[in-house]
Amino acid sequence: MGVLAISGAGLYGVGADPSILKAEGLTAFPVSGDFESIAKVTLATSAASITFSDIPQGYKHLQVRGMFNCSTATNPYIRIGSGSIDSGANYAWHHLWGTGTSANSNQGSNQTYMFCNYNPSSSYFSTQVTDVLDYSSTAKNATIRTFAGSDTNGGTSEVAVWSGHWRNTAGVTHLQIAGATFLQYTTAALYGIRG
Amino acid sequence: MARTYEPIASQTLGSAVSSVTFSDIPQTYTDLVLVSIGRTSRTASADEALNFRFNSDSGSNYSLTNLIANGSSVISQRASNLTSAEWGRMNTSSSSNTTFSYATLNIFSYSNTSIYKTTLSETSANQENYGIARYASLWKSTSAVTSFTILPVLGPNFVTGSTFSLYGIKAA
Repeated sequence: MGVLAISGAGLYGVGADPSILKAEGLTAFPVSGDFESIAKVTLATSAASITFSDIPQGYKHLQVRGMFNCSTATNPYIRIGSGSIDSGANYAWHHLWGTGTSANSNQGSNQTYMFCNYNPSSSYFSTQVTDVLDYSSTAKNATIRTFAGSDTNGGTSEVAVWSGHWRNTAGVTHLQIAGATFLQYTTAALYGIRG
Repeated sequence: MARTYEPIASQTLGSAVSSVTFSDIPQTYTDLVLVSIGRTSRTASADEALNFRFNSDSGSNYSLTNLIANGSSVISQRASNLTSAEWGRMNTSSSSNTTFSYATLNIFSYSNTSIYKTTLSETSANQENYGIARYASLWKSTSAVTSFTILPVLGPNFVTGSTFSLYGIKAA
């Protein structure tokens, strides 16, 4: 039985020659602008936090995608706010995670932040996708969900999901990831998703 | 704002194949996302492992940690020094299981030549031991990912109708 090789990706992506697409039996995608880049931070030197401010209110949802490397084994956390970062006890979350040897769950309420990742070693990055749903609504608390993980080739590792909320109905204009000393090449990118 | 979530390639299989390879991947995006709906031809069990290999590297450079819920319990497993990385489970063509299952793979900072590559994936296999699964997988290489291959471990094939779509996400 054969294998499928999709080569010369540029040929099949946006801007591809339609005749080539047809000849190859491939699908041409419609152009869409519903997922947009707002800002990106890549650390050149260590930093204690990454903050996105003055987030536009024109999207339906926000997504943060990132890779984090911390100076020690650490659980970074997320805070959000309206007008500034809220460090009050207004966060609650549930957490489901696996270490490679066990599966676990916990929760926190009336917290001053919401955990969003675990970086087990300065030798490895942890990755993360966080969604802030309906962030500009002034009628509901902001709901936050995160999928994060790291693997260290047999050492301490974690794959996890979080679901939580910020107990405030104000529109979210600020978002911060903190709780660690983030090292060089740590990257966080903020996107807006239209609804 | 710039359009940033772009399709790179997609294929719905017209015949069974033993692997799917994306090559000559543009290096202009920040992350890659593979979305697939598939099933393998294996009949001995209702689901099986779904692996990837970057840049045709078959060295012992892959590892994984997972979290799996099967309808009655939640478990977590890990494996290291593998010659390809498991990133999920996929339905097979056993007599009790003829439906397709989904799998989504996030490849972060794939063109960065200073860091190892870590992926996050989410998959479902709607029978037996692997109902829903999340994986963090590692390719212990700093090389930019220019191609990758998706393959069932036992298969031997992905069946006709399986779909694989690759997207690029470009940050500002």
